[in-house]
Formats: sequence, structure tokens, C-alpha cells
Amino acid sequence: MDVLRSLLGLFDRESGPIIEDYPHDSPVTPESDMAWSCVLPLPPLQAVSKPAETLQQSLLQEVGLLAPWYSESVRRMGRTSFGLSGLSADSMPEIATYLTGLAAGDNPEPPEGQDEPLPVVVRFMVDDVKSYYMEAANEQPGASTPGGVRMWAWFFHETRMGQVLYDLQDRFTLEYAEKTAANGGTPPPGSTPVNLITRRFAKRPEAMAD
Amino acid sequence: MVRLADLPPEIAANLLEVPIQDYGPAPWVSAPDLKNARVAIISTAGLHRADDTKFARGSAEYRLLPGDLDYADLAMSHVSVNFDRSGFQQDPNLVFPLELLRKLEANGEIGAVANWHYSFMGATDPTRMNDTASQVARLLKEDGVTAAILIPV
Repeated sequence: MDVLRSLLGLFDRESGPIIEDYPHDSPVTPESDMAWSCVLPLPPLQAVSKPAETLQQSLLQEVGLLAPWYSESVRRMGRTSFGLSGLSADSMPEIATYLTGLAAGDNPEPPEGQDEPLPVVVRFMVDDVKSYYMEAANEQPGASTPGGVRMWAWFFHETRMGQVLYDLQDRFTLEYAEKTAANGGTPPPGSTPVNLITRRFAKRPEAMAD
Repeated sequence: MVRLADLPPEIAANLLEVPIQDYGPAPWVSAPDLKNARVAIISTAGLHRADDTKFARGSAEYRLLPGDLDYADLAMSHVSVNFDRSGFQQDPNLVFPLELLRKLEANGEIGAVANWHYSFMGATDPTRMNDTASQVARLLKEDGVTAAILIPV
């Protein structure tokens, strides 16, 4: 509220335009942000050389462990940012299975009602997946709530779902390069690269490599 | 918005490379007395009602957000994968302070909350939004808005 009052207070200035910093720092510092850790016993990250069934089982276990905390978040907040895909959070196991299949190089049937082109389907599903994970993480008991950077670091580097998204990104990047090469070095009309990983975390951590 | 110095270096560097449009001399008008002001929010966070059309890449459109909106009906479909949604997930007031404006109205600190608020999707080149921004300006005027808060998240 104080930020908003300060902003509205600029209307009382007699000259302008004004560019002015809000005088107080965010209560979240890089140090306090990084202090957060997920308290749930998520399954350890698996080497991608493990059998596909093992990797999928690990992902479904992770999704299941987060489910009660996601539900609690919805109850407490009275809202969720999940839903861009048109699916409900009850479909998370189905979404996880679909994304794992795509990441493994298969072409599984998308969940029912997903009629848009593949990049659009995946974009909204991944947005929903992030909402599910991050809202569940926000709700966990603990002294602090993760800030944006810590949340992203946890999601991309410390979860099996993050690992799946790196695999999926690799697949889309390779396919885009192949299409471009086949078109004489220029991207085919209507073809755009699919980006799933936030630029800051574009590099897959060593711990996720084989 | 976040201070440049508080952004990840690669994002800050990217922002510094964005060309600044020359809009000529800034028109300056007298601000209204806040106690009588009718206030609207204009966001670039890619917000819309849950059943409204989602934003597509390159969209220069805007979405209408009613003044009596319940946050349970608020969705965000900003296209950028670099767009940090964590603050929005924790408290929508961070990007769309409608509830806070209602409190200020109830306290008599502002005159009224506008009937309509607006969201663009900030990953689009702003020069492409000239037409739709002009439409929003006309709509604000028709709604009797005397103060607009631009939130370029």
C-alpha cells in the first residue's frame, strides 16, 4: 500500500515529468531469497540415461508430493494462475506424462481439448506447470517465501520437471535447426523457435547431465 | 517497476538496448486533487479475465478488466518465458493493485476507482500499440478517468 501511496503522491508535484525511485529496498534480498529451500522430500534427480519408465515414475511422484500444497494454496488464496492450457490441475499427472513423452522424442497424443499447434499447446501447459509448482512451493511451511530468482532456480535446477523441460527444449531447438537447415539456412515461413527455459537458466546444470 | 540495478544483469542489459521512441515534448497537465480523482490502472503484464482471449506473441491488443473484478478471475498470459510470475502468484496487487485502490477509495484517499482498467502484453514492440493505446485513451476519457496508473511490469 505504501508503494501505491508514494506513486499517487507524485500527482501532487507541481512540475514534471518525474522519474523517481521508491525510497525503500525490497524486503527480499539476494541472501534471504537464496535461504529458501523446498521442505518436501522430492525424489532425487535421475540421470537421463535411466529407463524412461523410471524417469516418468519419478516425475509423477514429484507431482503427487506437491499436490496437497498446491490445493492448500488454492484454498488459502481463493485463486490460482493455473488454467491457461484449458486443463485443470487435476490433469497434472496427464500433463506430466505428455511432456515426458515429448521430451523423450515421442509424439504422444495431447490431453483432450488441446487443439492448438504444438508450440502453443506446450507453451500454455508449461505455464500451468510452473504455476502448479510455484504455488505449491509458496504454500509450504517455513520461515520464508521464495523470491522469483530462488523460485526459478528451484524449479529449473532442483526438480525432475525442470529436467524434463531442458530435455524438451533440446528437442525443439534441434528440430528448429534441422528445419532451418533444410530450408537453405533460413527458418521456414511461420516457424518460430520455442523457448521454454528462462534466459537466466538457459544452461543446464552439470548435475543434470549424465 | 524493478530498479535496473536489481534486475539480473542479462535482463538489465537487454532493456538498455531497447530503443526509446521519441514522442516529442511531453505534454504536462495539472494533476487532479486525489480526493476527487477517478483512477484507472493500465498494466503491461498480459492480464485478462480467465475466460477472455489469451495474449499471442506480438499482440498489440488490450484486454478490459472491470473495476469489480475478483482476483480469482484474473489470468496472466504474458508470452515471455523470462517474465517472472512469482510475485503475481503471491499477490496480484503487485502487478494490478485494484484491491488496494478500492481500499484507498473506501478511506477517501482517492475519489473513485474507474469502471474499467486495461492490460497490454509488454513483450510487443510498443510502437505497434499506437492505435490501441489511442483507443484506450478515448475509453479512459469516456469513463471519466482523471488519473491513470501505468504499471510497466
